[in-house]
Amino acid sequence: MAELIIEIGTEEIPARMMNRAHRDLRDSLEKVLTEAGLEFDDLESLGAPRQLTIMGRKVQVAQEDRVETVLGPPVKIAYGADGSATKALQGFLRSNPGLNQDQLFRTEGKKGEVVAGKVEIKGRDTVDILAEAIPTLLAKMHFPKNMRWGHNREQFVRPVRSILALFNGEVIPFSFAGIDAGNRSFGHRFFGGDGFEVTTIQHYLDAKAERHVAVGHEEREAKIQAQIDAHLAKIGGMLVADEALLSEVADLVECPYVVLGEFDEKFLDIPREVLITSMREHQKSFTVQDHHGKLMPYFLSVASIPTDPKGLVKKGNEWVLNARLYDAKFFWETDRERSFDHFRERLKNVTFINELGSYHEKTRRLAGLVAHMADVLEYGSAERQDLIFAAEQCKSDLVSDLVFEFAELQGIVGGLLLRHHGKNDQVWRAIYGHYQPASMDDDLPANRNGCLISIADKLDTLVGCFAAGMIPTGSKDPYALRRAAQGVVRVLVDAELPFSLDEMLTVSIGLYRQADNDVVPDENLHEQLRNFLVERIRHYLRKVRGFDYDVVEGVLAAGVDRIDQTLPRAEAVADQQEKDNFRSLSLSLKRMQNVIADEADRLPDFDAELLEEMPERTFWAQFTTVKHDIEKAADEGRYNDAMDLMVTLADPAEAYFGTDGVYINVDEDQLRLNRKAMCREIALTLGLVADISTLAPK
Amino acid sequence: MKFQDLILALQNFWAAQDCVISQPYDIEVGAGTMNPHTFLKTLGPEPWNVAYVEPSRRPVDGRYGENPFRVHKHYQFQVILKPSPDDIQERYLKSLAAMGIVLEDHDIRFEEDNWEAPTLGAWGVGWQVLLDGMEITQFTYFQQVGGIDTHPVSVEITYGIERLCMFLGGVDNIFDLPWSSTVTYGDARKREEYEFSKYCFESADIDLHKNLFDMYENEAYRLLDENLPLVAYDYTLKCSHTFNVLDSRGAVSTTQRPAYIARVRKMACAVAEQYVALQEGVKHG
Repeated sequence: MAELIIEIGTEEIPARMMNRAHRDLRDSLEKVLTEAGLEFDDLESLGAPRQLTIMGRKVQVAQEDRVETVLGPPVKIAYGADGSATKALQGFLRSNPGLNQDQLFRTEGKKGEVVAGKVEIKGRDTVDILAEAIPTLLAKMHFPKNMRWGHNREQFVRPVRSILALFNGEVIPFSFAGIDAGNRSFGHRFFGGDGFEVTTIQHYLDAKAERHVAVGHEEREAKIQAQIDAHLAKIGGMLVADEALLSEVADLVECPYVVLGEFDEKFLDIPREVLITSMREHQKSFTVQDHHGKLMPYFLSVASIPTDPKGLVKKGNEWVLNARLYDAKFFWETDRERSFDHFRERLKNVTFINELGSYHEKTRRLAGLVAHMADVLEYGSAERQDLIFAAEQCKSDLVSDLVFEFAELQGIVGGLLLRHHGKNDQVWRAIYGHYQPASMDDDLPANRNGCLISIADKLDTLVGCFAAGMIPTGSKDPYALRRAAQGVVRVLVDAELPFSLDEMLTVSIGLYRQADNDVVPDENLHEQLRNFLVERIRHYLRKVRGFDYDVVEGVLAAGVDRIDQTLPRAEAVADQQEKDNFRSLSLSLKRMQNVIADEADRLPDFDAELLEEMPERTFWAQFTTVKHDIEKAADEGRYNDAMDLMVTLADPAEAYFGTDGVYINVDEDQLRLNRKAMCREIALTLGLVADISTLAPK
Repeated sequence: MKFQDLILALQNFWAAQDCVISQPYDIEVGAGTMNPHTFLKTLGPEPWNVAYVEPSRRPVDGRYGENPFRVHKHYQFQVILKPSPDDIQERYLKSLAAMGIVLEDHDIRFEEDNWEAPTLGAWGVGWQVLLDGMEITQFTYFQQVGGIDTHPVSVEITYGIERLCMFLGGVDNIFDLPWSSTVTYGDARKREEYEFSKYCFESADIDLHKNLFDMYENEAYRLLDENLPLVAYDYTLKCSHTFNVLDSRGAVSTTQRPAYIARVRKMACAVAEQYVALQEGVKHG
């Protein structure tokens, strides 16, 4: 076993691409070794901005020699009449020089008996295998964006400037992008001195460290964290945690040095959200707060230097951050002075989606949609006014300077500005959070009005895009409509909002019809949208909530109009499923459905007077005693109660369909159809929570 | 550090690297890239090294001379090396040293920043260079110019010289920058910032500019018909600037914006295509 170390020296690789690059390089090299049948301990991939490094501490030096059976021509054409070798056999012997005719034997091939021989295959040296494989492997590496440089035709993520490649202490002879592999590496750009020759992995790691390059991502993260902690201890502060930023900055530096800087206290007037975003987005700096969560006039930036003896790096970072915060403060103060109505007026010139007109028009439709919601929720007039105002103004911040500068603060800035203008929680918080939830893990908007506007906004986008024919197909979903629909479902369910999907779609489509735009919703639109949303409910219940396929299908089959109710219904079904009589009941329901299926359209009203036999009279009698209570419980959302009552019908139902039960398919029309009509009545009620026949034993 | 000393230091440094020390183009441009010494010379196979200052007009960045960091016109120091040399990063760092920056005293980093000029059909891959967290340079390997894949690849280095100079001198307001030993940046330019901001935001004649755009565009295509891509390019630049004025004047709705940009790009790509075709014609006799 021997050591393998490869380092591709490049110009700075983008931080966001490092992790994947390490993994891909390791995986593809491991694949080469595995396919060559070489034994090795897991490879380790490391790297810093200017180097991708991969090392294996124990890799087999060469393939084992091995004996392989090679198959030749069929016996019947291998030998002439005199037993001598035919041309076919001679050819076989020529192409396997190690074979003698007298060593051949016969064996069964795919098409009958063939001549065969054993040949000894010399294992190849690992170094040769690597030299052959690595250039191809590098050329095939996938990065989000590749480039060319100079006269090179090869592409890589950034120009390759050096290659170190050693196996068992020897250079692996290959070249890539015009660079020959060698035994040299390099240190930190400014503090690393000259290049150096590498002997072993340990020597490489030690020498890199001496020359101020920490080649491991985890090592750099840990160093940054430790320095941050030391700084925080000094000033009695706490970090505004930001894992993503920590991981990113660790890949921006070779030699992490955390600078604690200060900024002018006057910038603490800037809202927290804006301050944090400005520091993170522009300067990749961490924010500091006190133990009460109040921001402190400090920041932490990560430089790529061993130390800052003259304090110039700290001074420079402070200068830049102060300039940035000056801008942020200027934007905040300018936006604060402007009237919101003026903002909204300017939305007339801001396109929402080409075919769907401006954001101004969108907010008018949103006001219409939330007015419908206010009716459903029986809002009082003041409440209603707040909600409609918030919907009208929710996009106004799109023309603010702050959102122009920090797009990710949309909504938040509008909320903060309205808070500043003295609007109440129901208005400003509603706007603040209405883009949430941005993902499945994201929180819901902070209050109910926020949830309502969030739903209205997403639904309006969905309806408009579908009306304009922009319907997602396969992986193409440029307006993120799946995510919008998923958001609608999640907010309705999680915030328990009692809206009818069909009513909302009707209102929203109606608003597009009334509006002055080029979109003419067609007849199928309602149906299409409904199906699209049902798909998202299905996804939500299955993948997010983890219900079984059968439970979900049963719930969806029994109705999707009240999206908020699909979850409690699924929960009740999942609970009941465990109970003894449930399977029997679901089987009976399935039988009832089967029975009525062929004559469903000619069934009369059910007439209890026509019942003759004991089991049917018992079944019907028992059903009528619980029918009303089941319907009432289902109507009030007490789905477990409803299903408890349904399960009491399991025994009479089983008796009805059992060996001593009732024969339904009699010849006499009236009797047969009436029996089927009874099944229809009962099946209807039993299907109120879910079509539990899907849960019948198969 | 005086503003002009910075320019002189950069000129001298890049002259020593065998660059042609060129001059600004005499038509309004938004960036040094638009100067034909970059846009056209980075096309085709011939080597080309050049450095020049380019006054770059961005009407929407105008602040009437009241913002300490933003101006409608700033100066870029532009360097093009074609093909990109293997040691280009080291050379660039030496240029910083030539300005008097002691590299070991600072944190200098290359952070991903991929440049794209939609009006020029051009894009490249590279970084913004940060000096102690301050963006001082755009560093780009041109991959495509005028819609044409570049070969060999040029590297473009664009220094934002006001900011660099402010940073090095610890000056908090652009207008306080010493230009020479007696004149400040504000002395030379403040009134100009006010007037051009006023013009681009409030006063520019919208109809006139819309007409101009159409007329310049017609002229560009007419010139292309006459096989005069260099002249056609001038009119492409005029279109680009006219569009920028209309944009800052608030006369371009978000819906019209992409259409204007597409029109300029189409001209730029047509120019590039004809320019390359003519070059090849010359070469092959």
